[in-house]
Amino acid sequence: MLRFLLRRLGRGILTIFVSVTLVFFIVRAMPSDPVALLISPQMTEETQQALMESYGLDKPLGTQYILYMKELLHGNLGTSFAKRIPVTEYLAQKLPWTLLLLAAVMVIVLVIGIPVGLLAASKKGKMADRIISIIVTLGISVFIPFMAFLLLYIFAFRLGISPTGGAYTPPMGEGMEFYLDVAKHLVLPAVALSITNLANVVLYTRNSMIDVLHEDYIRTAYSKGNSKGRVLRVHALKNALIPTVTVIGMQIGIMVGGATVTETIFSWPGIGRLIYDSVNALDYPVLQGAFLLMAVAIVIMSFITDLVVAWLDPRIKLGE
Amino acid sequence: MEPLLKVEGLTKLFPVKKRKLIEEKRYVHAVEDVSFEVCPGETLGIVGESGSGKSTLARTILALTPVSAGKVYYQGKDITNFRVSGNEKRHLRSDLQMVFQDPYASLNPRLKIGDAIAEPMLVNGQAKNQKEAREKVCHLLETVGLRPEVYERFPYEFSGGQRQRIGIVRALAVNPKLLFCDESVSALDVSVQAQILNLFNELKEKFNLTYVFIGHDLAVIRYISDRILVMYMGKIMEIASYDELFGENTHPYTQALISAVPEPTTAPRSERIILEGDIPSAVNPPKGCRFCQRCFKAQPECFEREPDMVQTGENHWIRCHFAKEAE
Amino acid sequence: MGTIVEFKDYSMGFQDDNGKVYNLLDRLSFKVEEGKALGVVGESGCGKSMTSLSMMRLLPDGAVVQGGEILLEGENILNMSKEKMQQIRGEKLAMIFQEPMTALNPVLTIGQQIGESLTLHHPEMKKQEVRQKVLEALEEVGIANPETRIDQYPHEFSGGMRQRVMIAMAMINRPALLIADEPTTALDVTIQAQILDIMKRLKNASSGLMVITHNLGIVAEICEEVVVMYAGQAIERGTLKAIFDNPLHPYTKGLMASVPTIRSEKKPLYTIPGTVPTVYDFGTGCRFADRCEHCTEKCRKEVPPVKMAEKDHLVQCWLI
Repeated sequence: MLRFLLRRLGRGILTIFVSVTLVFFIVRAMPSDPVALLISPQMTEETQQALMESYGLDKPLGTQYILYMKELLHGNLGTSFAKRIPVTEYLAQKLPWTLLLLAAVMVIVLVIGIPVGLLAASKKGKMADRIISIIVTLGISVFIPFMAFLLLYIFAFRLGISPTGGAYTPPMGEGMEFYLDVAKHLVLPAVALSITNLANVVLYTRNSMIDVLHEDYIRTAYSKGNSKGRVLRVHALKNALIPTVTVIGMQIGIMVGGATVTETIFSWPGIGRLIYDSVNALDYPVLQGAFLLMAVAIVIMSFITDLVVAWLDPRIKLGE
Repeated sequence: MEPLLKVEGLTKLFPVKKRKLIEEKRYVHAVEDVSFEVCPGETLGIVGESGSGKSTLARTILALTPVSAGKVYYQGKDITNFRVSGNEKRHLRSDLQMVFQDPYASLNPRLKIGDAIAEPMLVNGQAKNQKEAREKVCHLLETVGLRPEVYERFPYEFSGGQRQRIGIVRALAVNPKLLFCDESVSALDVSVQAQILNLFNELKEKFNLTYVFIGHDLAVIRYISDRILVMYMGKIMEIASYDELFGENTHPYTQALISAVPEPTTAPRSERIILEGDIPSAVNPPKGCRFCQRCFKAQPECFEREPDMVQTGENHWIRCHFAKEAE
Repeated sequence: MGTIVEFKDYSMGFQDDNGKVYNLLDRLSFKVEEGKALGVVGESGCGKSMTSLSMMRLLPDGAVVQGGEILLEGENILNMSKEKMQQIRGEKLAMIFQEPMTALNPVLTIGQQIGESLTLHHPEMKKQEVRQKVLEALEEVGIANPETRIDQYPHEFSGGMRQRVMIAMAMINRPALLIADEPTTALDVTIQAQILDIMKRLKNASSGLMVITHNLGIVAEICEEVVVMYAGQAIERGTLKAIFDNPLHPYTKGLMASVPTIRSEKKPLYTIPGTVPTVYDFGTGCRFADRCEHCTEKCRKEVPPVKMAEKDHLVQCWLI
């Protein structure tokens, strides 16, 4: 077990290192210069120079990279160009909103996705399965921005039962009223973001369940006198979930990095929206920080996924 | 007579993936120190259970997997790992052919049967042009009892027995001298298996072939073979001609194998020898005799010292401390 | 002595996508008597497995029952309700399958899987009692260290050991009939000998035994009665002695002569020409006609009647 942890830790650090490095250079390869946005012509030469120095933008790329990595080791992600506050603080403000959205999406995906997938599998080829399959295909192929605008149009503009954007009605309230307000704001972005994920999970659950139901041990289970329901619950479910868990784990990891498109359309103040704004502002440190966060989230999720899979499947021994 | 194939001390070890950082490197002893000869025109049977190394042995001889130690000679020439000149290698590749358990797996599903067979003939020069190749293939198809029209058809259109006939034609197409048949009749139905076994015997006469017949079914292997090599955990336990497999002076493992075969007769049978336990893993072979853990005759000595092959007759060798040596 | 199971003119077949039914099992009739073991012998495609699955009422999709009765202790199981059938499976009818490697559920322990056979039919049984019985069952089939083995998973067992587990699982309720479908085909000869030994030893723990196999040797080893099947028809049946010492049907004779035995002479084997027909090209008459040396016009046109050749020996052939 210790060996497994150490190996995973090593691999995780390597993944994060590579991703940080790539992001550092890709961000700087963007075809415009943050200096132009930071510096106004009214500033004196000295002020301009001082500003450049304070952000380290006057140094060669290699030096900038080494400096950045050095600071990173001390947990310092730098200062936002645009907001002039530490990136860590900035991310900490936005992360809870993304996590809230993510949690809502996961609840929808797990509570609806897995049972629907199982239902489709147990009714394979019958009407219910066919209808589900059609909806799933639509769900996977739908263009998310279009869906998001459609939801906004119907529920916010036409019916007026849903807010048009943001996470709450300002000013920030307190207590029950505030929570309800947030919940109201959460519905549309969560639904929009769930569609593709939900369709994927239904598809994966269905297909892996169908595979499992063809296994010899399912026939054995029936031959012992199990009812169909019990065969599905006791003998098939755990086996069918093994591949599905991997898919869900990866999706969560990616979503921590923020659903840029959805968050932007719904003005949701999460990491995704932050990335969008930072790209516009050429806010290198924030972008780097946001992508670092995504890399860390993916590493952690793949670790958790492995633990869950090992717990479900006794054939997998951690550390071997 | 000079042997057609001679194998000397052939060993094949597969490394086991290490689990700990500091650990002695371990190996699966798939084939260990195997020596035998195959004379022109004979059929040598190799029989063993799963994990005995019988298939690995054939693959190692045919250079499909590299040899760890030992030598393979063909017509007196060292051909270990097929490390010979390009021209000779081409000859070897047509002289030594293999017939598999499921020929379907080795046939390209998109290629017509005939074209699949003709291709190696053209490459290896057994046929000068398409037309000649086609004639030869059709002739061979008829020889194994298939209609020549089969040439135009695709692999999926055939039953198990027909596929095996096609597999045989494919091997025969390049005029081989020595045919390795690895579980070639195991997947077939009983009534079809008999047809294919007879076919093998007929073809042997017709084309002057020599066979190495590998399988797990002792009754089948004994029927088709002149001499039988019994393997257990990578080592030869016994080499005997087909009529010397019975009786007291045979290896205990051979006795157990013969006793284990259920016979289709109502005649009363002798008490069966039932070996205990599973076939052990070949990663940690026992110190003494390979068979000591399951042997019903094992003595303390068997766990301590590995027996050598003892010659008990002109063509009879047994690896057992208690084998009675020839006078 | 009573009859445990009786097939009476039972017919079944397969329906293709256009609704056309191809008959496989054709008016199958035979009995399993109390205290006796019946061997059902045949090559692939002769319908042996469909015979056992018919009895368990676990036929695959597309299979249709065309007529006849299957009586279990006098009651027609084809008319039983789903719930009644669930009670019977595992309690009165138990089955072991060909592939021990895949017939056990990989994510449940051996103890859970054997125990389930008990608790499904005896829900009142206490946990401790179930465990005790499972331990006894493991011991009965010769599994060493049952106290440790009970909590292990199938992947920790070899093929032979898994087949022992399957036997323990099937026998734990002392069923009226044990159906063993090619129980040793996937195993090595020395392991097969062990399993056959256990089956012979446990023969009396169930009231009746039905062994389905292509191996005539296995039938001779454990059975008293034999049914020879060819292309869905029970072409010859009777006592082991009658069938093996005096085979009458040309197919049975051919089958016996074409198997090389351990003491076969070195002369060409007898062969039956041709191959086993598939369900799509059964003729209207005797299904063996195309491969039979003695075939007449009549054989091709009309299905031969079942004739009693001697006491306890029935043959379906025009020649007799």
